[in-house]
Amino acid sequence: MKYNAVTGVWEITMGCNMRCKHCGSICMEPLPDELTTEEALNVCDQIGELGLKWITLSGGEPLTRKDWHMLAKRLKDNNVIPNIITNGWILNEETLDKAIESGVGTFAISLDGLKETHDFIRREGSYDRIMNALELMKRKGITAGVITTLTNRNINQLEALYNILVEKGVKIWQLQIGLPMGNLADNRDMLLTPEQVDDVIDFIHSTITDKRIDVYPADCLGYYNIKEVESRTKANNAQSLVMWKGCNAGKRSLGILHNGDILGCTSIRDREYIEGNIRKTPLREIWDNENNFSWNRKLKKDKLSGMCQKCTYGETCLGGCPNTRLTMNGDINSENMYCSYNVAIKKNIKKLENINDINKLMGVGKKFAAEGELQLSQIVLERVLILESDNKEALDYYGYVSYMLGNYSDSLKANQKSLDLEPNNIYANKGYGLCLCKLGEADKGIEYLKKSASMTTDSYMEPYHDLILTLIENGRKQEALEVFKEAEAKCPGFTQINQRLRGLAG
Amino acid sequence: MKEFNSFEEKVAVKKGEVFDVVLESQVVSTGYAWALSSMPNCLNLLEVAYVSTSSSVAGAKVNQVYRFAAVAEAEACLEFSLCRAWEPLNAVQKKVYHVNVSEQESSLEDDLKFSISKDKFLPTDVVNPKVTREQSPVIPYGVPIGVVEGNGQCILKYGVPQGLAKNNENCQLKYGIPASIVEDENNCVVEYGIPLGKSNSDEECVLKYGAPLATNLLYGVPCAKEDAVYPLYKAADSNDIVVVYGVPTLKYGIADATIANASNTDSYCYTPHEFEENENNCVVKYGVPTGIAKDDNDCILKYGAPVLKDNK
Repeated sequence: MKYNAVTGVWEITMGCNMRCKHCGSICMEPLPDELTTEEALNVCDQIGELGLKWITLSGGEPLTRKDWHMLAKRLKDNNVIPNIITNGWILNEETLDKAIESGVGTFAISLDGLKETHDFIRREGSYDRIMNALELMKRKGITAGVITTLTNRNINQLEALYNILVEKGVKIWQLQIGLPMGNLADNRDMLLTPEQVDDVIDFIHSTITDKRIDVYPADCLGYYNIKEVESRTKANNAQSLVMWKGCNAGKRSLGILHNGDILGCTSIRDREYIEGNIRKTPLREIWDNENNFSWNRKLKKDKLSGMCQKCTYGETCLGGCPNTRLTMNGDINSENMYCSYNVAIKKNIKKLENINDINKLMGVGKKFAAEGELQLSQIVLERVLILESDNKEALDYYGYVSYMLGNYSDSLKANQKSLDLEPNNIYANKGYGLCLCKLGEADKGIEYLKKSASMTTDSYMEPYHDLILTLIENGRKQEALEVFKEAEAKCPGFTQINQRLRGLAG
Repeated sequence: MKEFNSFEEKVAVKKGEVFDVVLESQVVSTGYAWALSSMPNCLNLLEVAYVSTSSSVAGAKVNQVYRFAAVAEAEACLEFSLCRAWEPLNAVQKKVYHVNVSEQESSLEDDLKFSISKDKFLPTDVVNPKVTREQSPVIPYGVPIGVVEGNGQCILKYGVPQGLAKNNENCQLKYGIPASIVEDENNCVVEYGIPLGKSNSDEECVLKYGAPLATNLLYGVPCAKEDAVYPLYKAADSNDIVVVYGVPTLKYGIADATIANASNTDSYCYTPHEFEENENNCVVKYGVPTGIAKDDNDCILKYGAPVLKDNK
């Protein structure tokens, strides 16, 4: 599969004029292996050739790199819109004029709270400089954006900040969660709790009717909470719903470090995620290499763990922001706890821990399955199986709902357990066979489907239907036709009822 | 239904529950009856009835039945006064009930559903749209219902397209109906939504699917521009029928207007229905045209709503 890079983030320097308590990159002085101007200009050309439409220049503090404006101009000359994220410390009129000349699109200033909070996190005096910079940008008609990294130090200041930003003419405000990486890894007591994600979403949603400012939830905030989706849609000025479609790292976006290292995302920067270096390999070659960025390009739901592996949204979401998973749990394929849906499901699981009435649970679990509330059915039946691991009915239903949720491994295990208890369970043989097919073992799966079909009676012809369909999907149409005959012999009228299937068989 | 008599002092009910307060009186013989003297907002009075007791003796007691509905969670007082209708200020007895209306206990099912209800989270099929078939990946026209990206191209499979890839060379429809236009020096490329702008450039406005308003319309529903040309004249030759903006004028078809001409009364403003194919001419094949190529050598109507299929 070919991927088109559209956007990216480039940390043009690790030098910084601040020492923020939550800095993800632990920036201080420029590092000796920083790209030279010539090298960096070449990178600009390569970015243009790759076809990116936008790139954000970041750091460290990008404005401390003396040639930042040259890079911005070169990018613009290559039809790539440069945006800048800055701490605002040296954002003065001269800098802004240079930015305008260079073709910078948006200036996003990092602001992490009201004066006392922001200066504590960043640097004494920086809040006032930012306010001055915002006033300047307002006067010059430059689009001002603000990015706020949320911790428990500033979560209660959102309303006050909102009023200030509107007054200052800020048009775009992105909120993102502070994650335990870099300096913040040593300050985990500042982190938000997963439950506070809903508070942030509620706040953002409360602003959606305000046309003066667009408040964005960053990629680490979500997922599929209707308020969050509505907020994204409004912020993107879109006609149809804008929702999280999975991480774009390595698919539509990339990261470039100060020394030319290329990765999917500048936040995910451990050595194992560096795909190449632009000093040795052209950017396009790194990007087009089908073996690169595989941690995301080849990610499937069943590689994740915890609730993300079982989630009804998992196929699309793929665990939300991978940096959240990596920094919170040390494992990029772990569960994403900073997810509104995850929090809601976990609350339900907690409620179920106090319920031991198996009959009641089975009643509710089966009803949910019948109503199509698959996720709820799954967690209820899981509770039943914790209380009674050999409950056959629960195993059957659990196998079914897991399959429908796309949790084929879980379904396989449930069906396996059923077969251990009752090897000739027609339903379990069918389910096991279907799961094997989904997990890439079609031949083996078909054998189980055949076994199921051979044992079934004319009152339950589903095994034949599933077997025939599976054979067709695996290019074994002749066999499918034979099975049709067998099915017809067992249950006259089968072909008539399944005409569409018969048509697919050829 | 719950019933509360005069010996009880408390009324404990659930919100939504209907209950009776039954009070005995000798209204027939004494004239004294129970009047409702104070009713809290958490209750609605539904009915008042007099029910005889079993005794047939003159002056026998009567049951006064007050039927209430509990409508709100609250703790309050319900008061009755025993008095005569003609002496309302002279109550000889009062009866007060302490009322407690509590919420209905929710079921486990409701409880679990509440936290992930459909007004809180998107339905799964909105987030994970199912593509039912995966053959024939590139479907240029039609009403697709799902989109798969891949192979460097916007592969529209099934569904209503909702956007356009920003690709100068290969204007490919990606997601849905284009809604906005990206001003680009070289190409007017429509991205995501109904285009509202136009290219200032003489270069090709590449819009493939949608309702463009711009110049250089290739496919779609052309809309008039101020200098749109509506040729009403007979073409000198078959290569001279070029419609730039507005309603396409085609060579063949059913006439909408007839131009009187000394030498020729042929009609030239047509709504074509079916035509012979001719690669050098403005050719419409089977249908109502919805767009026309700018190029007079390639004035071939491609996308329309086929009406007839027979070649005549």
